[in-house]
Amino acid sequence: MGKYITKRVLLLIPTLLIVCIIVFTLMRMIPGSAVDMIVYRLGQAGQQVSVADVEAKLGMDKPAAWQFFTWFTGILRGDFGTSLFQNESVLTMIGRQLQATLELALLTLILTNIISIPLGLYCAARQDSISDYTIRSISIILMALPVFWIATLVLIYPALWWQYAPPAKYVSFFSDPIQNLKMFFIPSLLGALSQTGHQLRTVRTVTLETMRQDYIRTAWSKGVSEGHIMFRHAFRNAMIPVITVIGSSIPGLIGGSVILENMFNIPGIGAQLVTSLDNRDYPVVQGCVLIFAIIVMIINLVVDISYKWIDPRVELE
Amino acid sequence: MEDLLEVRHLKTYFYNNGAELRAADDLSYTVKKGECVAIIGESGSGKSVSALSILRLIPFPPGLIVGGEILFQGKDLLKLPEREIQNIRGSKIGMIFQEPGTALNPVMTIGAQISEPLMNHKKLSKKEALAKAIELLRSVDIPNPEERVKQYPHQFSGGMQQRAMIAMAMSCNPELLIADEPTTALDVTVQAQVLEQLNRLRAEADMALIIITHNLGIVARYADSVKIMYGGKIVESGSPADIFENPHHPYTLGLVRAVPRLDLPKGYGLHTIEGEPPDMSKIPPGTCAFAERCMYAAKRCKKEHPPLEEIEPDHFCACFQKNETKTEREALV
Amino acid sequence: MSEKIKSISVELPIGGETKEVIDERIKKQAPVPKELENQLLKVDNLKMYFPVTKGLLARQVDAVKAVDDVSFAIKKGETLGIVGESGSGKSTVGHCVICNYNITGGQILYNNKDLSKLGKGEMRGLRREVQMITQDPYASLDPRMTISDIILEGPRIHKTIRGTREEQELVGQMLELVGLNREFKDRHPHEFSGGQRQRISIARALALNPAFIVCDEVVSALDVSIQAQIVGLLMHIQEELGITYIFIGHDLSVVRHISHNVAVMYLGKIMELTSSDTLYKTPLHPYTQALISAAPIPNPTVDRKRARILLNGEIPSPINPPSGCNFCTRCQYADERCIQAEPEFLDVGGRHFVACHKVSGTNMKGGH
Repeated sequence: MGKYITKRVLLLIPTLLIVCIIVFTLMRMIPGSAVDMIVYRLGQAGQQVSVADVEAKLGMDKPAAWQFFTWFTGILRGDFGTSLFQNESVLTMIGRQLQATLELALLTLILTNIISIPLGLYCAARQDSISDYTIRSISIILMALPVFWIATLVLIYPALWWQYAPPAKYVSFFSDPIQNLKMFFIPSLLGALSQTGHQLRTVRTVTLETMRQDYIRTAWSKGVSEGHIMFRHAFRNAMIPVITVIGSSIPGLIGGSVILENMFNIPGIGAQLVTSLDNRDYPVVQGCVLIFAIIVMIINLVVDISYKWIDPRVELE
Repeated sequence: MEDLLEVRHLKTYFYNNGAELRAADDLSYTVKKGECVAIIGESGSGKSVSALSILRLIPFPPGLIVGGEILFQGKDLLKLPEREIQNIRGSKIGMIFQEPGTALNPVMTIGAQISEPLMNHKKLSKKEALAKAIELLRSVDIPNPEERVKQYPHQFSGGMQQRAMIAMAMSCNPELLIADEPTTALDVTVQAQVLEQLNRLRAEADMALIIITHNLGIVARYADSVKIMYGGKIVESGSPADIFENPHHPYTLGLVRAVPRLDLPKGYGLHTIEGEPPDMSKIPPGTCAFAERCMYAAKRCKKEHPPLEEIEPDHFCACFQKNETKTEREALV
Repeated sequence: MSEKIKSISVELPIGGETKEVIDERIKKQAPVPKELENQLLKVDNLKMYFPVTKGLLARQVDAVKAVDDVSFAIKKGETLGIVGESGSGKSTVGHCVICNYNITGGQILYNNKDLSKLGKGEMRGLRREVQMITQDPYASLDPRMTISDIILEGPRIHKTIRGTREEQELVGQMLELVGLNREFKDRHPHEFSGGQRQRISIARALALNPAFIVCDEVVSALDVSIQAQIVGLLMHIQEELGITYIFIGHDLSVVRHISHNVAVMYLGKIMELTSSDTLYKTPLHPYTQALISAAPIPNPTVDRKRARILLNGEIPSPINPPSGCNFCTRCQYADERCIQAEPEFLDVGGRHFVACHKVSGTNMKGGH
């Protein structure tokens, strides 16, 4: 297993290279003269620069391959470049925003699983009962209702009824956990509810299928109690597909939190990305997309490794 | 020998899209202590369902045990509360299944799976149970049991998987073992090994065995008592000699003649029974399920269901036309 | 009446003859020319190895020797039965004969033509003449096609018939031939039982008027009474149309019934090959004897008197067959010679081929 992990980690580098090439090329393909746009925007922001200045700064007067090479080697050293607008290192900017997004994503993930897994198992155990139907109907409703609409309601009505609003200023978890959680709890819960609808049904379906397997019948024939059957026999097998679902939902959590970040004033990476794209702040955009891709690759690796940990039949090469 | 298990008028029905499938239809039979009972049937005969009903392993939906009694050591298994039947499963009555590859949990070690009933029913500690598991694997001739006990099912061959299942089912020394097509998925020589082992273990433990199969050869070799099922009912029952050498029911006759024999010249055997095994949701109640394929069928057969009658000591047959089959029967080799 | 299967005393030469006489007879075994005329299929030293690869670049590290030096011949209108357990290679032989694989070695002569040297047109012709029916009646028929379409697929591709009227006629004929109602032609596979679906598969194979059909475990998934029907049908068709079969199975009794000659395979090699009567009357190879002993006879009086031969151990993997004789790890008669040297596949008299040191009585390899 250790060998497998080392191999996969090493494989990240060529993958990273390919991702960088793609990101680099795509950025350069954005229509419109990007440099003019930059000059215009910088002008609007109060900085007067000439086209030549910008080009020199971006290194756009040099051949594309050279530009790519400098950028990529920079990445390997940990230098993602400097923002065109903020005069800050890209990495610092992203780091600051990323923390908020990751926290939101993590909380959403935890809440989703706390709700969906036990409920999903329960629905499978009590298939076609009234509680099963009720819970499933609620999950369909949750899937159908748009998150931003619920968020709007959640923001408006408590304000109207109880004069309550969640904190508007971001405070890091490490400096003031209570205040931080006050800010993050509601948006995470909302995000979790929308994810739960889908995941609960997956857990239920997968558990039902697992329960139909021959080895579950063997377990019953040995006199194993229902609880043990669910948790000792069925659970591990059922979790294999569920982990896939969780793994594939994480990129969505990170990138798609734009709406919630916007509504709850969380300084996350989603908001950052949109602003920078608008400004054609190339280095920041590239950096964001790249970080995003790296996170996805790491998640994939973790998911693959967890397969092997759970399912001994998996042959990893 | 007293009766260990008595099945009385068992009715297990399946419900599918409003159709009622009478998989086990008023089934009655007994198993004595230490006896090997074989239940023969083709697909759709209800043989597996009758075995699963004993341990109440019928999945609901779509199946349901709607009537009858199953008396085990005097107690009616169908009326026991869930916890008590769980105490009986795996400890007093064990079961092994057809496809050992899928019947074993792929993510648990063999040792864990065999230890489970030992810890559950015999209250052994984890260490003690594992030691016993190693011994059990040794008793079913699995080489190197100390290593094997830490392995997973997919690392075992088909024959070994089945033997591990036997070890698991017998771990708590049950009085009765139910084997549902235990060797159908195995190679011929492996079948022979596994069956010999099963027979030996059974004799040593004085354990009763119910074998469900469609392989008449196995039945001829190992059974003490045979029941032939068709359309959810037992149509003939008796000793192997009765069934193979003196069958009265037209279906039994057809079946015995349909199996090719290695010891007889080529011309004998592979006699066909016209038609197909019945679709159980379409058999009208109150008729003989075999009537539409039967060459002796009379009007009465389509109007009434023949009751199971004792035609010779311990030899039962459910057929109105059983006397007509004399000629065919006497032509048997 | 019933012959008890005796396990013969294998140290004695056959028929009490001396080693010299046997050697002489074996030397004289040259192929008899007039038999060649009637030979539809001749397979010589067929080898089919599947590579085992490892790593990203798919390096070959090993090979599964699915079929390892197999030779036999089949006369027109006859059936060769191939019996074996898992890993024996019997199904692979069937696939090789109908050219599903590029064989690793050896030669297949169909109608005296080398199959590896066929041109495109000839290959097409071969595909018409040689058909295969397989085991699973539920997977082998496309559930979205009607029975009529299934049967007509081959003729339409090979353009053997034209026009709706001819098509309808063909479908009707085929259905009748396999004992199904003509009205079934517009139904779909899922409406039929396992046995009926096998009949449809047979009808599909017959639609191209083949000369040769490979039946790969066609009755293994069927109930006993239906097995009898399908085997009877196949034999009837052989009588009527003179089709040659290879019948692959694991149930000795069934295979023996339909076959003229039977080959017993183990781990890619043929252990014994002879007429079906001889095989069951006087099986010479220890493996054949074990197989016969393992198959219980459905008559308690007869069966409980038989001697039981139980093999120890498991079937080895075809990636790593034992050195020497493939069967030596499980054979009760195995000795030093068996472990070291592979026995040759020899005719020990009356076209009865066996690959066993103990039977041929002479040490062919490494002895001279």
